[in-house]
Amino acid sequence: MRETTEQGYAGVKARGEDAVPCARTSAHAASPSYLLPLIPILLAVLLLLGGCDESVNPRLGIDRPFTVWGLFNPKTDTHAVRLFEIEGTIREVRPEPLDAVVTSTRLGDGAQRVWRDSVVTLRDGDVRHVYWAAFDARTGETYRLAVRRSDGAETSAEVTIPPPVTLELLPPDTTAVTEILLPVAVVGEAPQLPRVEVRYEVVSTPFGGDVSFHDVVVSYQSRAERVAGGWRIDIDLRDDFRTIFLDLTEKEVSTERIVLREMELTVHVGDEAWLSPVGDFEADVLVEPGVFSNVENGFGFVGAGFFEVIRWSPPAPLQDRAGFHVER
Amino acid sequence: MPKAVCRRILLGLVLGLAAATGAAAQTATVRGFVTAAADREPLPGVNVVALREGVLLRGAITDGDGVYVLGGLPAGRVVVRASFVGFATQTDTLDLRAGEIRILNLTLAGAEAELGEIVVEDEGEGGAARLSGGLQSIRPKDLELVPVPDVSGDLAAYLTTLPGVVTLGDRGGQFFVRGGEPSHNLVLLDGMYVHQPFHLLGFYSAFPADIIQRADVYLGGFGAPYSGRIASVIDVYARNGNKRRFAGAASAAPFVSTVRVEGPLMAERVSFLASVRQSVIEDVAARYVAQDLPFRFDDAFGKVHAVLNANHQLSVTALRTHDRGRLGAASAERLDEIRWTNEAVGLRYLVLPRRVPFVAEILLSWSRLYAEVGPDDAPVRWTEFDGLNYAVNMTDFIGGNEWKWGLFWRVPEITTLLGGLFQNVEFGTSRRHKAGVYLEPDLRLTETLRLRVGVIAQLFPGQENTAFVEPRARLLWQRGRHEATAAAGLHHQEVFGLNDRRDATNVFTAWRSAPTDRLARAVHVLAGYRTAPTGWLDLAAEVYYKRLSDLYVAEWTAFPRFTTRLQRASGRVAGLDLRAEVRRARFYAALTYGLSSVRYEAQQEAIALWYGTETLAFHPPHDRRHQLDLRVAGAVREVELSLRWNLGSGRPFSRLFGFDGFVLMNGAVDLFDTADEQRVIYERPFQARLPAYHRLDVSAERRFAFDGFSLTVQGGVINVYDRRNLFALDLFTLRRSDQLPVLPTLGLKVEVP
Repeated sequence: MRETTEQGYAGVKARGEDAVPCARTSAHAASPSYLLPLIPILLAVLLLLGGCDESVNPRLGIDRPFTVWGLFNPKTDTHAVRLFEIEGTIREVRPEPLDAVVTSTRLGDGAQRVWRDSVVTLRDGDVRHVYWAAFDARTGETYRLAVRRSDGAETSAEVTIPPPVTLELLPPDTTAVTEILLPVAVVGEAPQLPRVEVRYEVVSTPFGGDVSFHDVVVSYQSRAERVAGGWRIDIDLRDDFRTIFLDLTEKEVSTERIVLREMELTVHVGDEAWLSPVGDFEADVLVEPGVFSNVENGFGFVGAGFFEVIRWSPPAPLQDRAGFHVER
Repeated sequence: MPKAVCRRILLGLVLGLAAATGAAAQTATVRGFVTAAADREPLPGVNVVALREGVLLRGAITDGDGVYVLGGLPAGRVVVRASFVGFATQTDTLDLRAGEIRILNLTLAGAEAELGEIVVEDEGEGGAARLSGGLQSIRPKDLELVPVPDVSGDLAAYLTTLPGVVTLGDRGGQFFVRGGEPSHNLVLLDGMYVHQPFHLLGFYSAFPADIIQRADVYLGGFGAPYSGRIASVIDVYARNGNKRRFAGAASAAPFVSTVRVEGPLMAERVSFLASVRQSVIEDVAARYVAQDLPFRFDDAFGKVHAVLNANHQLSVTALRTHDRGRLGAASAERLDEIRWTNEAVGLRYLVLPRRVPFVAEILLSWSRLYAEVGPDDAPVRWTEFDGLNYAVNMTDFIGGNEWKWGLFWRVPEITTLLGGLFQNVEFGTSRRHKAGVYLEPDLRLTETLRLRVGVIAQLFPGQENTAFVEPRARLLWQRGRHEATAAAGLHHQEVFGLNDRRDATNVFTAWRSAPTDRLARAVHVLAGYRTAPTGWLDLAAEVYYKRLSDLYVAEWTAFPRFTTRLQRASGRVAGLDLRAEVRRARFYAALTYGLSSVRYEAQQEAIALWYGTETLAFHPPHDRRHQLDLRVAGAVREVELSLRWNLGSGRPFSRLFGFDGFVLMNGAVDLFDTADEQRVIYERPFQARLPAYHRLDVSAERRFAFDGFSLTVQGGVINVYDRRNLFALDLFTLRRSDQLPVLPTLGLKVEVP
């Protein structure tokens, strides 16, 4: 986590800002008493002189060159970072090449790769610079990503590739009256689970009404528990049924008969640094520059991770107890 | 406060009042209305004294309705004498019986002032340096001394001269009084609530000088008759209209045109006063100013006043204002165009009962504010605030002391659609009943010392916290030319206005009802001193401190968007006012200085994470540290000249380091496809200050009298040395909006007196 200072972000200093404290005036420079009546006049003059300035400059400037958002994914052969120049004015990103060279270095053996720029067009029509490189990121290896500007300014980050994991369904726990727990084991030494969510595919089948299909996603962020050999996630089917019920009600969908077709658990595995300082990954909190960052001399986050998915349908009696409609 | 304690306090005060009332039965009371002979308008501030063999028994000052009460008079012959500067003194001799309550209405004819008169000091007299415990009373003649681009003055322009009153510029209609928000000001016109009375262009309000009889502005420390707001009170009394003859005026100037008519509907008994103003800025002023001035406003005022008999008066007042304009950059979609309408109608009944020694005021009013932002046909956000207000205000005079007490019942109904402005508050509607009672005796402890101590009990039936008790106190010491005051009080506000102060061009205020366990709260403490070392010089100084809690401010965010969430904040305000005023026959000068510090502490959840502290302390955009205002007026032959120079130190704003993009890395996202947002890398909020504001305005006016009418010609220049005073700066585009440039004005006014 970054440090904070009275001025703002840790280490962020306005260009040209003097780090030397103001020189002290001499304690021996006593004012002659006959100058005392002049003090109010001097103050008034200073006030008036200060009032002459009409200009205002809200831009402090910054020495950090880049903001980098990146992912080293050991399950794919391509790794990517989205790169932003830190600019003094707000404007759309232009497709012209950036003054940036992106490299990655495997710290174990010094193997270095130069990443290629690609200009992608997002769904809203905006363009972005995404640098990428194709190679196998090996489990346990640490990589250093560096983004260098032609004037030598550099932004960098280091990531360590997490080990693979497997997802295993454990026997349901139906002993509690108020809960129906479907435990899932994340087997493997996953350092962090930044995102865990369950997607329910449900069908609304009201009597005499139209059948409609819906996906409802329930977040299990921060609800995974570290256990020996990995993590354990207890999916509460009854509680999730209530969430689905409220979601459909809000969408003005009939909740008379809700049929569960399938459920899908997605577990995102991240490296050790992939940990939100507030638990959840809430954009309004994490948007503050430097709050969630492992980038040196810049902003952003470069992580190493991947995700695993498992799909299944729980037993009909459990669905029934949870509140879903089950054909008898 | 527990209900039991509340009940005990009220019971004690009521029993005290009853005991004092019994004692009053042994003495006599004389009271009545004092009016001007010329038009039958009430005369506030008149000295009325009761004498016996030349010895002063009692003295009183007429209030805003011209009412005086001389209580506690011994039975027998007394001489009642009324005197007022500019009027002939009137004397009447009465034979009073013990327990008698005599109605004696007095009419004063215009004349030269007499010297050596016995004078009772009035707390509410007009004048720039006549500040008494946070109260400044403003008369129409005070308004005329401030140069404005109009032949007549306006209360809004005058308020900007007061130290401690901060505006964000010459547009927007936002007044911050001693650190409070505009929504913290209670504005009353003849007892009616007016929620947003100041027009988009800062010179103008719903209160032109021609309709005002006087305005009492409480900058803090206000008494028990006022409740429901935590910063200030602007209590405006309108004129009643001429009861003897028809009169009127019409004026034209580059910014506004005005028509006023008044006259008797029934001679000596019923009068009317009507005024209509229409802005012409877009059509006239904008043509010769190299600046877009997209402002349009109008207001209409009407009042009928009836003297039912010697001791009953009734008035009906109505007001409507409308504003439309744009403070930001021009856009074809008019997404930021703001429009608001005030409507209010009220009935006021004033009675001096013949058998009980009360002055009773009964108020019944309804007021409504509707404001919206966005295109005409599809506003993106709007707010509607209306409600009924019933009040009974009683003033009793017991043993030489004035006891005020009253009851009120308010039913504000508020509906607001925020259109995403604040993400954690979207839509709300509320209709909450509020009832209350107050008691405030003004106790004359010694010849020189008076203590006014009051208490208000506010009740919210059906709410979680049903009762609030607010103590108020005011101490006044007067001796010769010296006066010292101190005041303190606790204030709550049950409705609050939401503003996004990150953007100066966004003046939309969304009203909401606060949960009763989280009412905005302020504690006021102030102390002042004033003196008149000579007959023409007044000096005043006042220090004040306020503690604010449960305020709502916009959350801080690095997203470059105009929607955010709300967070709670507390604050403190400290300041000093210094005033000097010179009044000579043909020369006037007033110099005021205000030193103020406003600091808020926000309690946003993420602040500890962002800044490493539990709360974020900052100086909000209305923290103007220094204010200096100089007004000089004089007459050269037949021409009246006036000049105003004012200076305000820079207000806080937030600087930024730069811009980048933000990707929410909440998992193994696809960086070729995932959406992102632009981001602002800000410095810590409100660390810098804008340039100082200063401006010189001058005007010259000459009145030509003709048979049956007069013509007034006024010429002036606003911003004489063309200072580029900043109104708003778009941090993202660096586009700057300045306030009015140098602007010559010419106005004409035809008046039938």
